[in-house]
Amino acid sequence: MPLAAYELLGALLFALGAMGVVLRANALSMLISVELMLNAVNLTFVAAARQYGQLDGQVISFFVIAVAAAEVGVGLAIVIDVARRHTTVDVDAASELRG
Amino acid sequence: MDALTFSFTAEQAIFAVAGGICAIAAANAVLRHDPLASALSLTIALFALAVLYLSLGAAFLFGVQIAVYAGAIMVLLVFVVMLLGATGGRPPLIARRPRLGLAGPLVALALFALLAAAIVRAPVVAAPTAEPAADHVAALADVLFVKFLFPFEIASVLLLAALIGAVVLAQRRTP
Amino acid sequence: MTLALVVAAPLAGAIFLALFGGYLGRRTSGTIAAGAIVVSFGAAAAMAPVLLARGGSIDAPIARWLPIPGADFHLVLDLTMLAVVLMITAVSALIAIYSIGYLAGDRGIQRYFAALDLFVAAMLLIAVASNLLLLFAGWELVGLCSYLLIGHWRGRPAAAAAAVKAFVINRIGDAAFLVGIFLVITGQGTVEIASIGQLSITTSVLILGGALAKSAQVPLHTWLPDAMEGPTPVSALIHAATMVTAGVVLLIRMSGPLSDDVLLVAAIIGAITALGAATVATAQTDLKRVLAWSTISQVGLMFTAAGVGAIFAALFHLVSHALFKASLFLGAGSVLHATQDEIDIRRLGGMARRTPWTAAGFVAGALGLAAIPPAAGFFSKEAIAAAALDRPYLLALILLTSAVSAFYAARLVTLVFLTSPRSDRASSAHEPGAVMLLPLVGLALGTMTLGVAVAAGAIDLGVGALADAPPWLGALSLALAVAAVLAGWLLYRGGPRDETVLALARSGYGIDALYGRTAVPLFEAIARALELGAERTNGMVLDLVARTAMSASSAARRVQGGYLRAYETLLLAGAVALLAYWSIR
Repeated sequence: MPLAAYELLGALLFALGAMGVVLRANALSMLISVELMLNAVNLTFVAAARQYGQLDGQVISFFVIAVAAAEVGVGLAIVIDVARRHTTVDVDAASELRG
Repeated sequence: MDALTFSFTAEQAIFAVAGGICAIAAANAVLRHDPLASALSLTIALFALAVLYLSLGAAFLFGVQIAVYAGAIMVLLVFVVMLLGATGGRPPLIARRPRLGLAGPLVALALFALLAAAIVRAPVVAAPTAEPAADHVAALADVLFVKFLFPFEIASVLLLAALIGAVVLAQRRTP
Repeated sequence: MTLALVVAAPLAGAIFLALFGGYLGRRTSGTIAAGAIVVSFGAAAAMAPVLLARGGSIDAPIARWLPIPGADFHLVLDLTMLAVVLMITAVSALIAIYSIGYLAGDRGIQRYFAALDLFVAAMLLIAVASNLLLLFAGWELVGLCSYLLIGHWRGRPAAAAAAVKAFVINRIGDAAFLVGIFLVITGQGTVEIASIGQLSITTSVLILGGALAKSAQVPLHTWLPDAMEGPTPVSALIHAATMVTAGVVLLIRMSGPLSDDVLLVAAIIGAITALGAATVATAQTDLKRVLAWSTISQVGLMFTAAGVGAIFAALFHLVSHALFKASLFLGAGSVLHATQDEIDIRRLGGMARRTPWTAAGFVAGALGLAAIPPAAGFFSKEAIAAAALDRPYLLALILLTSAVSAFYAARLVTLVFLTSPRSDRASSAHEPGAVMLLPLVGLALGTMTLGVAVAAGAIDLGVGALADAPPWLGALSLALAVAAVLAGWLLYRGGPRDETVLALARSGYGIDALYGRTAVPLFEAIARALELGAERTNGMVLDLVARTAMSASSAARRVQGGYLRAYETLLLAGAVALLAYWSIR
């Protein structure tokens, strides 16, 4: 399988995730979309690792997963806090940080 | 052999199936109203990705993806979705304010187009001739703990910080 | 050193009162102001014996100033200017004391005394400056103090308008004067008065222009009657004794360098102004305005004397006029004070019975104005007439002016003091206190004694004794004066008369009105155009800058809408743009 195929799939997933981030109003859905984007990146790294015959790509993906875990933990904590304050997870309601 | 038969390698088959499932599940995850459905769809996509990793020769990552990503992270996500089910409200799929209209999808489309163009035009790299190492985990460990030792340590600090932060943030404030 | 003290004392008084006057009371600040002037008088008097003995002048170089030859802080005093200095300080001191009583209850009295002292210092500077630039500094300061003092009563719009008018008209003269000084610098190479040679006609005309404005001669005289809006002691000081005489002082000090032709023109202008102003004075019903026009007239006579080279006559009349005009003004001030500001002479009357001392002082001044001996005015006017003997047209103007002056002096005294009171305010008047009476009496005494003393040669004014005037001139003048006085008394002893025939004269022959219809609107239009041009443009530019900044920031603000998804979209769009840029390169 040529590298390009995996990369294209990764690009597709990435774009889908990006669209989801911008489109969705539910905080949790946004978080899910972000995770999708991270995974797209992981796929690209792993495919590249195979193509270039190095394991570095896989190690990087490993780190990405670790960071994603940390991010999800903190992110969900924030979502819970916001949900408690505003009784909704609609991100459009949390628009107090305006300039 | 018939000139029209094209030979499927195993990898190509796996790519077709797993990739297809992944793409469809991802699209579903992004487009669904209900966050629970989105979460579950994403989980399916993650599983598909794990299979892809395996076919790409990343056995360890296959395990990690299932155990950590699909296992821990998504479980946490589903847990919070259900926790907030009573208090989370049901915001619309596509939010009303600010009136971005189709700006989001358009930008995403542009993004994909750019990336695709870049990918297609990139010079083809020759596949490696060397055999992958026999002991995959050992080889991986070798790279991880030697070349990427510093990031490894930093990652552990990061996880600690996230742990503390999450606990502090999620505490129910006593009024 | 002593000479520097003459100017420094009132200056120090002014600075002290400006800074600390607010903490002092009426009497204290008045005493300090008067005291500083008395110190100045004493310093000048101390130098008198030296000057009388050896003549010449006392020199007091103080400091270097501008890199123009002669332009230093350098004072010089000769016998001529000694007389002027003594007159200025004596009269100013008496007026300062008088002000303590007149301005009782005025809340801005400390600021008044500070301006007063500054004024005296500036006037003295005009008299003793060694060079034209230092003189000009005093000249300008005098104008400033005049503005401050005329407009002293801040609540009165008429006073503010009068102050501005005085300042603006003087500005015109000042501008001419300054250009004249520039021409002196380029033409003579120095500004030191003693070193200046003969000046061109242009330069002389310009310098004369400055003198005309400051001394309120035609055509720059219209500010003086309006300046009566200020407190009466201010009128006495500025518009009798000092500021208006600055022009004469200038002519006297520059009589050498100024072109003789221009000086003659000055004399003619002076004579015409004198007669014209005298007739206008006759038609006035405002007590102070009679005196204002009278001043214009008398200063005109001084110009005539200076213009024909009769320095002694000009100087003598300057001093004697200061004394009698100040007496008249202080007397008028006392009348106003006593009648609660009844200024219309048609409604006054009977003041001789109600305020005898004031009446006596006023009458002494009136005698000086009418040129009846023993008042000094008689002798000084005779000196002027004698100087004009070889120019019959000037002599005629002078004699006519004297006659008219005597007439309106009599009219004034009769209507205000001798007839019966014609209003409640007049009939309930009472004599003012000692602090106002004593200076008036002092000035009156001075008027009566000085003339005799000078005529007898007892006092040397430094420019030669009284020229031997033919006795017939003195007799003629006296006869004219007595006749005019009698006419005045006879015509007005029954009270005010119908004076509609004098309407044109009352308006000053329409000159002020003419200016109001031509020059003033022109200047206002120019000023408005400039405001439109410069200030509006400036304002518009600033406004534009401000508005651009504000609209730019408003536009930029909209990015920060607070909506998370908008930020995300922008972020994404930015990344896409970057990618596109890179892939194109």
